[in-house]
Amino acid sequence: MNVETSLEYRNETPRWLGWAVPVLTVLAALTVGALPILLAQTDPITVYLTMFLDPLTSDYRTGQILTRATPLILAGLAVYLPLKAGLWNVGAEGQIYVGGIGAAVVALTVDAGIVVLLPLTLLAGALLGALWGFVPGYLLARWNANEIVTTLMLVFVAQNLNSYMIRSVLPGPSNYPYTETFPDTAVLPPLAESGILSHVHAGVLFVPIAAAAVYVIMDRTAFGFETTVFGSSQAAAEQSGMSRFKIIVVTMTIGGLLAGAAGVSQAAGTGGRLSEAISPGYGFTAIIIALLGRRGVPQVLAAGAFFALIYVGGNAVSTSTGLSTAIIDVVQALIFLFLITGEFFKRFTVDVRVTRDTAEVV
Amino acid sequence: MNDSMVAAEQAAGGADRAPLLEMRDVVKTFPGGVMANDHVDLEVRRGEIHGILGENGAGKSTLMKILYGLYVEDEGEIRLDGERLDITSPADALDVGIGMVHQHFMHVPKFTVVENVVLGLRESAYENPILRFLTRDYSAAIERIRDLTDRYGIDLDPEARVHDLDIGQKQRLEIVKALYRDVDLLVLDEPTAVLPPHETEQMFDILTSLVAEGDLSIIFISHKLDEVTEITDRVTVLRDGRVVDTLATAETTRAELAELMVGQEVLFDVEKEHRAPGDVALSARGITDRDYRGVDLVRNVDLTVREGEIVGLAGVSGNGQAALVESLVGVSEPDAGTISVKGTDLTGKPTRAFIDSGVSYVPADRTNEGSAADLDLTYNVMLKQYRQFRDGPFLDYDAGRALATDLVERFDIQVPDPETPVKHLSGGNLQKLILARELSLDPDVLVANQPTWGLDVGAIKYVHELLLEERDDGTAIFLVSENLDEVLQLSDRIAVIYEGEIVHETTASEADRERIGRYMTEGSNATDPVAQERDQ
Repeated sequence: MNVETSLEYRNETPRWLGWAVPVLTVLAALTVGALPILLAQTDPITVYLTMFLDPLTSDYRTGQILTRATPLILAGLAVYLPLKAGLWNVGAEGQIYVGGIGAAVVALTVDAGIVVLLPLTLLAGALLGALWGFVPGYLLARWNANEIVTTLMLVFVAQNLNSYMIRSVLPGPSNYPYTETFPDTAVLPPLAESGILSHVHAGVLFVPIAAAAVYVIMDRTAFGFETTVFGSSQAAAEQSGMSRFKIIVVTMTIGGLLAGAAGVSQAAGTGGRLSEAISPGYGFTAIIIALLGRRGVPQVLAAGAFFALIYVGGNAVSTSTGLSTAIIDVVQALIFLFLITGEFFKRFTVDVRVTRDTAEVV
Repeated sequence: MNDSMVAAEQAAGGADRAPLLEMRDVVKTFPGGVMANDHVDLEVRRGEIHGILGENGAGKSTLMKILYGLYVEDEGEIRLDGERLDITSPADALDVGIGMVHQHFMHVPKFTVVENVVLGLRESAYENPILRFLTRDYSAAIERIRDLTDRYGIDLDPEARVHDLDIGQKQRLEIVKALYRDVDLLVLDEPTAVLPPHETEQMFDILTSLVAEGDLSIIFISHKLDEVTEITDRVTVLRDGRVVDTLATAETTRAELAELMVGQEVLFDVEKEHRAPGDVALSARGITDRDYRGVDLVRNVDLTVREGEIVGLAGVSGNGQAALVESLVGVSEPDAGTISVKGTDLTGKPTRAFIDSGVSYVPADRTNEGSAADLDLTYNVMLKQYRQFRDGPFLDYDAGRALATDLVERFDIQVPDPETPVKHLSGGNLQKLILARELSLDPDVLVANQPTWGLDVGAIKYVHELLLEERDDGTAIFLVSENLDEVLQLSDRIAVIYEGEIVHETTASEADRERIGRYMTEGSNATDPVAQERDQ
């Protein structure tokens, strides 16, 4: 038998495919993921039901989804906006860390009431994040330094700076890897006394603000127009008199600012202090979120929320079924992998032809 | 094969043998309905140099891209040595023995010649795959390249680095790459377009020696009559996607070929009234631009374009037109020289200042520079005008859409729907869109680089009419084209660029086609035939 496969570039993606692909790819991932779960002698159906339904049936876990989605979506937007200009900000992780550092420095050294201190904390974290985006942007615009390399390298700078701050500058009680708890005046309060919102801190409010801002910038302003054109063709943008320098520096800086806000939300909201584990890789997951959601801000929101669900569902699985977290990680990774691969089918048609051998044809 | 058979076959001569390549009834239609190849038949015999002659857009490149697997034909068949071929990629083409030398060279500049030649080939002195993977022994390959170059008299050092080679050597490298892969048929796509004249002669010598042994056949694509008559054995003339005729070169004349190529009538009459030009609109003095290695692209060019006149720049591509144009529209700043528009000095100013001063620009590269190909009509119409639709930081997209609708109607642009990315438009419609945008800015100066390249006849006519209308409205137009006829038809004044210098300037009424042609190909070395006659 001869198997021939041919790939063809799609000129247009049918509308139904846009929705069918993510659903089908997640189902395919779950099917493959059933294998390691079975090997661990656990029932995959139970695992999946727990993973997807548990988070939605308990107040605490639903609140967790919102809390988790906050840094994921903010960092996702931090990657999305530069991506619209054709730039890869793969350093949202580092921008989250410096956001946390900025918040911690103000929260632990400035003494003021909540009305002054909380905004100041936010501002410090966001601005430091913005600086972490500005530097690669400037290096690219001025010296053509590849932004993928510089943003990634600055992640390591940020992470080690964070460790240094925690261990030497703002050390916490005894030798634990975190700072003192922030004063109440610098902590993002819960949104309600009881119910789902009592498990959610005010950092979650950054999400609608940031999403609306990014949407308006990209779809309503002249700068967003320039960014879109630049992302499609640099040469067309430049011959139209648009400033390459401005587009690169501004999109990268806003990206850094958004990820910095995610860092603030992690430190001043979720932890109430700066720790070495302020982000379990949210900034890297954000790259996948931005890729899946690159068609628009609503898609980024959806992708971020879905990833939060998977994370929280994974926790639920490990506590209620005792399945090893390593296997849950495998299943989660499979879902990410399949989703990214699924993008391929939106862009190409695959034609597989199977024919019987016809004699000796050379 | 014994000797007598060889002799018999040689005696039979090329003409009676089955053709090496047969293309029958090949049809290729592009989106937008342009029939680039309309039932084309082509027959190439073993051991001949077969010319394919036609103007830009006659379908030469499309036909060759089909042969080389870059396009798939809609209808028709291709046979090589009598066997039907199904070529869907260049790798397929190479497998059956068809090699192609593109106009744009494809190699890795940091590699040596031999490394470029064996790139993609998995041959090695070792059978063991691990050893093959680990070793980089090029001695066998170098020897083979030396054999080839000695045999055919090709001047090329296999161990030289490609970035040190000059343009002629790079082209020879492309030829050697194909020979190394044992091709039977070598396609050369406008090989002389990039070559200075003395290199052209050397290349012709190589081509002659390649076919001397009778094994290899060559397809030579060109729109230059003198080259085709000099080097080919037979020639197929294409016009508007159709084969007009196939002739033995020795039995035809340049005049006959020219007529076949262009058709009986002149493509279309351009009615050009004589107008007295107005004030100076665009003035450039002493423009010099160098590439990153410090090599001069443009040398000390002075240019003046007045209101209501078209100044045409003729020249073979790659003689500095791109750098000159980018300097004139402010996309890149030249290394020396001054540029002013309507008396305002714009030297060193950003692109934006040029646009605001009334400079419109039609770039040669429609899909990358002229438009943002992934974006829709509205975005592309607003590309420059968006500044007029600003309301503080915000942008009025509705006004942009209204402008788009208006331009689509006024310029008769065929678009499936306004949301379609403009990359799906046909070349003619995309160029209309770009012109519509640039002209709606109501420019004082219009710089158009290759505005009709690759367009069909109808679209060319439309573009020409637009340019003339705009001229009559008092716009100063600087037209850069490789198509000499276009320059001659449209321009009020004509300049010829050669190796970055303006070597000849004349007016429409005094223009002499032949003389301009000589300046285009030989630069200021071209001896003026008139002056020569006078001297005698």
